[in-house]
Amino acid sequence: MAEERITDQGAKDYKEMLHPVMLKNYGQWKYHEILKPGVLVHVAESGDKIYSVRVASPRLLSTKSIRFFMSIADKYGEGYLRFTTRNNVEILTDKEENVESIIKDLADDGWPIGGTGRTASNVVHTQGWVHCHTSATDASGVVKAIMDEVFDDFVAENLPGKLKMALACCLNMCGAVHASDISVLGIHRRPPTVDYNMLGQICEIPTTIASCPTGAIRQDIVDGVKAMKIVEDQCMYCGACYTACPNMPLADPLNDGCSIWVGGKIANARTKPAFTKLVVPYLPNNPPRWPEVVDAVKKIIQVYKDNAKKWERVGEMIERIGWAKFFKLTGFEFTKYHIDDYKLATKSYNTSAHLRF
Amino acid sequence: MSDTPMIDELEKGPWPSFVREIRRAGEQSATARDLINILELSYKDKKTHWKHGGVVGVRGYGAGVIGRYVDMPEQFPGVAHFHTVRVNQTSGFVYSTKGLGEIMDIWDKRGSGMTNLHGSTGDMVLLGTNSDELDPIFTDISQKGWDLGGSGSDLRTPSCCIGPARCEYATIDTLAITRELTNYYQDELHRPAFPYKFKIKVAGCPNDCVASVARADLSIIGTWKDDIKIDQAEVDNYVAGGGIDIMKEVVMLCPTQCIDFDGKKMEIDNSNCVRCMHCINKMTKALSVGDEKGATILLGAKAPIVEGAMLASVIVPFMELEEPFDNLKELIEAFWEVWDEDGKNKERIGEFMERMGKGEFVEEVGRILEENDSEVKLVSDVDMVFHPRENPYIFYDEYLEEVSDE
Amino acid sequence: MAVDLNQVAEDMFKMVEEVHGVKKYKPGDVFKAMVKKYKDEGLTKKDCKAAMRILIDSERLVYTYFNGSWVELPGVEGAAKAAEEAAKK
Repeated sequence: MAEERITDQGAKDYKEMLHPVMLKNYGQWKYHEILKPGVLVHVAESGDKIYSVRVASPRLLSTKSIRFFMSIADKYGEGYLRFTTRNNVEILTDKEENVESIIKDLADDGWPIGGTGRTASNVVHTQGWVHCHTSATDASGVVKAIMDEVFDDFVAENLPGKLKMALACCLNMCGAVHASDISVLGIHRRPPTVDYNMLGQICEIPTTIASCPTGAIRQDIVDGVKAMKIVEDQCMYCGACYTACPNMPLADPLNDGCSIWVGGKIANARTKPAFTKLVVPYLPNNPPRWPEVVDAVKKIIQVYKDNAKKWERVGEMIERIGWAKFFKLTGFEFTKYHIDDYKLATKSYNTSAHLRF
Repeated sequence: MSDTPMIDELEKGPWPSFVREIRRAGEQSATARDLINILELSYKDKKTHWKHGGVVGVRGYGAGVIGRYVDMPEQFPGVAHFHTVRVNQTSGFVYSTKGLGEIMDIWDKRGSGMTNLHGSTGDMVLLGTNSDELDPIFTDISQKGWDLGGSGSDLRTPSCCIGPARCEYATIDTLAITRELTNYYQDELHRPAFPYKFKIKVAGCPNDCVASVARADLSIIGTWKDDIKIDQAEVDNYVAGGGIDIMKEVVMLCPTQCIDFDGKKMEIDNSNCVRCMHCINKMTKALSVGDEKGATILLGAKAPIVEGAMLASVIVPFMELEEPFDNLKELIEAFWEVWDEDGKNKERIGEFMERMGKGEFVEEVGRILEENDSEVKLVSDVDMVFHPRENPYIFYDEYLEEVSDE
Repeated sequence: MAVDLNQVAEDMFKMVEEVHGVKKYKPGDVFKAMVKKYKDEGLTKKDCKAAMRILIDSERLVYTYFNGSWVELPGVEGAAKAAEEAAKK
């Protein structure tokens, strides 16, 4: 008989994982300051201070690099670190004199700090070609290409306000690209093809038909054998059928690519949370550096730098100057794809004479 | 000439390279080495080479492992199996090096050495192992007191911001709420029995650093009811310091123009404050959240599949949240009961609520809460909408009929 | 009044077995059917979860994921099957 199996323990107790200064002053914080990009100090009512050094991370980390961060935390930070919701690493210490040593050791192994205040923070992203079966583009590679070019805005506070970018490699959107300042969204433009070779042996046809959320897959007979066909108009490229049946690949090098969206936000500061809106419907996948995508992102950031008022987010700026001017300033073409045609699309139609010329 | 010229290109440049990470893992792991090779092929072919495996898992659980196979196993045997293991993170993503080291040791022994810290939902994602290692990994992490996270049609691993552990804005104990919900609902997390996934995120204030309004079916966002606290002496320091133009950067950016400032003294018309956080964010030493603390509960955020993306919308404008959070649990269970009863496969609660009608949904959840003798009351509230309905197609519950006098 | 959970588990198993290869159930579908069947005995959803656990822990049924979670008889699915086929070659 099997050994006694331990199950359902749940999450480990965070109290065991908290820096002692954070545990002591839990819920008793007074204020915080950004000492310089990438370095925060939080001050407690008691006068205690905790310093956080925010490190850029590709999110895809080797155990070796994580052990490196742990060694820094052990050497200078009393053995505690954390990760942010945007996947940065934060080395924590209560000793101000250790901050510069931490930064130096990190730099020696190629790890920059930043991402605080009015910077371009780390790009929240998905798995892409590193792990995902429905991706229309890579994730880590596109992010790397973008951040290499936007690097100066991560390490220094060059921007009018916060800039939060996200990338999702298909519209299943494992990353929240529908509410970021600038988003890259991988898109498929063609429904899956059916590979009839051994289709019946590999895939259960009823299961595959049932897997489609829009009912776009129908039974078919090909050469007297049971098969499937796709009603193309009903396909929304989710890849659910490919999950059920590997003989229905969605990936299509000729048509897959990226779309660019702007103006979303999560925080309630000043204006309400908002969805991103489409600015570029399609750009090709051009690995390894995706120059078209990087150019589009840089263009948007430049327009933001040149036109936004202090603290304004991209979407707030566009609301103020108008979409017409935003398209003019960026030079992106406005096409029929920019006009919504899904449910409640009419909510986005302009019913006013409020126009800027 | 290198076999992987395109991938090599991404080792260059100032931003930390994921390629270097995979190479570092590759020093020990054949899986990581083949990951580089298959990625190069994807860059060449401009398409993914992964297939989903929907059956793999650990015994007894229906969640926590995502099956993955490469589509060319003969050429890339190292990644023939490339399954993901989701390990439940700590609340607030805080770790001692000792604690995190436990996971690193297990993963070096039984996996590719590649991770995502963290996944979009919040788990530590251990990336790339084969089917035979899954149960041993589970045994190893269990013995160190860790557990797997959610996947499939279940409660996904709840997550939260750093909250009271390091933030003066937090009005609720995000870490305690997250851990309590995670551990109280272990069965819902490990044994999928919902119509579809259900994500919970807990943010300590309306800055919502955990993106709950966009990414969680249930968003718990800290707020307060009474007045913003003003430390006039610190306001004076901001004026004297000159580092900020208070009129331009704070007063004029208030969305409801409720700050009165004469160049020296600051007053706030709290009855018109919408708790947007802007003034507090900008003058953190002088302004702070009130004392009557609690949370706004919002419901229904999701990504596009199936019926379109949604942001969460208000379902309970204000709720006090104190351990053991019984009121919150009663509310959550009432949501689940209504959704479970009539939700279709792959229908998130936001879509379900839209299909049913928010008013109708609220009434039904309210009825269940009452039936369960909960102290929580749920009734239609003007704060649930931006404005009352515009269309006149009202479906009245009842109408009067003529009474015949006999 | 007390329902034998082993009996409920047996009924659940039959329900899944009967449609094997033709149709799939979500755990919720099975629970609803059992609550209805054992209405007079007052079977609850919680009881159903316990009964399901008997079947899962003994590996007579397994959870699967294909566009949503299901309970099925153990078997080998498409992607793994293809991987095995390739390994054989």
